[in-house]
Amino acid sequence: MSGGTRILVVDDERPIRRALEVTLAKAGYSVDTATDASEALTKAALTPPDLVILDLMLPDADGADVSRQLRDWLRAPILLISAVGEESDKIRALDAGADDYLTKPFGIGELLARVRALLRRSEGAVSGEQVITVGDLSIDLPHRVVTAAGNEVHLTPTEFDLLKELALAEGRPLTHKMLLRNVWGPGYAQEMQLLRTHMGRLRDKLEENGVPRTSIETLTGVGYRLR
Amino acid sequence: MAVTQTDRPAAGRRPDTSLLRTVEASRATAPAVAAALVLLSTLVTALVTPTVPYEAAGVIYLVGVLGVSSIYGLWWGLATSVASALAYNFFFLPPAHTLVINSSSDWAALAAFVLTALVTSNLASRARSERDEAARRAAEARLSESFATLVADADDLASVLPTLASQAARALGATDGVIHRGAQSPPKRSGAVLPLVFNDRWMGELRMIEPPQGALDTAAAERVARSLAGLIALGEERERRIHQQVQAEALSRSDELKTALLRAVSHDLRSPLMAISTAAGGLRYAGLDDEDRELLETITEQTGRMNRMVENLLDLSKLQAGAVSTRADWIDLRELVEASADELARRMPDAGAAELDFDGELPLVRGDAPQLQRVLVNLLENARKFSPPDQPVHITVRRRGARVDLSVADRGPGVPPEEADRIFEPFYRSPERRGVPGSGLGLAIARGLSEANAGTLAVEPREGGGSIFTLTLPVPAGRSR
Repeated sequence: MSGGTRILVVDDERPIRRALEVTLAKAGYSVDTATDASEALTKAALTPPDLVILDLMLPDADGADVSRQLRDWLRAPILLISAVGEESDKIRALDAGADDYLTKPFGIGELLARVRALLRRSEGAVSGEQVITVGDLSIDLPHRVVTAAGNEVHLTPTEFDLLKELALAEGRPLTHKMLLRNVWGPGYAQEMQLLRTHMGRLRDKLEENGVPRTSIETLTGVGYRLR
Repeated sequence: MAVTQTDRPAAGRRPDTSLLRTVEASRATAPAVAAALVLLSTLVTALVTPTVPYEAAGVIYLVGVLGVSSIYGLWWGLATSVASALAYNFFFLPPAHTLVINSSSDWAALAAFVLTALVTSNLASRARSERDEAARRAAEARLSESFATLVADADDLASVLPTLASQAARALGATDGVIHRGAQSPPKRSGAVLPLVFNDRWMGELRMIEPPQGALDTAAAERVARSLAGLIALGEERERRIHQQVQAEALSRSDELKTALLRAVSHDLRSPLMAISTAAGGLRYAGLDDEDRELLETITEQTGRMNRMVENLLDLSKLQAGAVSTRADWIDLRELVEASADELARRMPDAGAAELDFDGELPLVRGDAPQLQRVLVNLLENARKFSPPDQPVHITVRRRGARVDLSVADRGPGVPPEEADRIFEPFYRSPERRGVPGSGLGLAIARGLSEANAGTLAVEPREGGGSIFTLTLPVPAGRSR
């Protein structure tokens, strides 16, 4: 338990908790564990971690509640671990402040990649950059100009706002609800048709300019992510 | 004991059933009353004739005729008229004490009297029968009300039938009655059996004990039968509904149970697999040689395979238990197909990219996106497994009026027509495809999930070899892009 980056692993299954603990420790992180929500909150309060890995289904609380309680005072990113078919729980936890999720069973490589990405973002935090670059895409926020490999992509204001939201999330998943609220407004949280239609057009335009449609990843049943 | 108990109507609920019998009994007194009234009229007339002319005194007899008619009906009224005419003629029309009439004015007086008596008795008896009818209707209404209350309050129909039968039979003048519902076809109506028919449906029959002569041929019996039949039908309907409600509740409880059970089982099956794969993953930092690494690879790979099988089995169980819930929302078909192709590329990194072909303007459809993606990924995986590696898998999306077809075409060995339906059965493996790994669940799950989303899934041969699997989804009316 040297210094360095601290990760809090919250899972009620001992074998999984232990496997994660050993693996993360071998990867160079200092790891703390908790078996349920109340222990997690206590440990996080005593020694604030740099990242929390949280099982979505805990015996004493659900992932969304724990995410919300942690998010109240903890800035560290929260990575959810969920099972197949728990989309609605995932969405609730993401809306409550969790940053990303992994679906069981996942490879350790995938886990470590997510952990690194989340830590990188939280360290770099609040970059205040005016131009965001993702692959060939470059998004100039103040001038509202998008270029792909140097060519301007002509977007409507809504399409630009959609892309901007995705870019600002820096690879974090955004739920349908978050995008609808941030781009259209709080009254539009259920207007899935709007989102589907504009997302389709945004992808069409990106594709016309040589950016693959899949650079905006579809998280089926959950939302979107710019990768 | 039990018989007497059930046969007796409940105290305090007994309707007025005396109507028919009081009328029957009172008829016996008619001749005496009529005779007495004629006698009385004669005495009164005799008393007044010194002062009143005898031609006018005949009116006094009319009072008696009126009374008898209104109490005993037309025929007793007429009999009284005739008796009065004879008495009037005999005692008062000259020559007195004979039935001979001399003067034409006396003939006229007698004729006027008879005519008036006829009209009077007719009017009075009609008034009487109307009054009787009203009373009967009121009694019937009370009876019906009592029936309805009995049926409405009863826990089950069978328990009130004895009371209903008893009340109905008494109302019709029998000593008691029983309702039989067992017979399949209406028996012939007989002196003691009243068929109960509601809307041409045979509801049973009322069997009466010691019914009065002709009691079953009356309109009242007809109405009582209709009312009884209607109530039995109502009671049956109510019982059916209660039964359905109980069944629905039991069903929803068992569905909840099944869902909870499946959730628990799936958690119990997945957790060890998750632990194994995580633990195996942790070993990648151990200093392993190539052979150890190969073993570790096997553990990881096979755990993944096992996990997919568990997922499939759980999905199938959920489908078969009817425990799949769909969360429908608007879906962009192009996005759905692209996400499915993307997932396939992640699952089978060595497989070539699928070729996608979309109609220019596609409508949004409604469905559970993760479930429909499972359908497409299963179809794509299948197509990939059976196609030669150099042949791409094609996905086409076409609108066909109110439906949209999502087709996955392969260049595999094809599906013989006789297997076109069987391949969607769980665990079915075509005899020719035994060599290809798989559980035989993918297509069964795909079809189950398609149907859960109001779609269909079918296979047809592809021109030039191979198969086309088509998922067809409805396009919501009036809501296209």
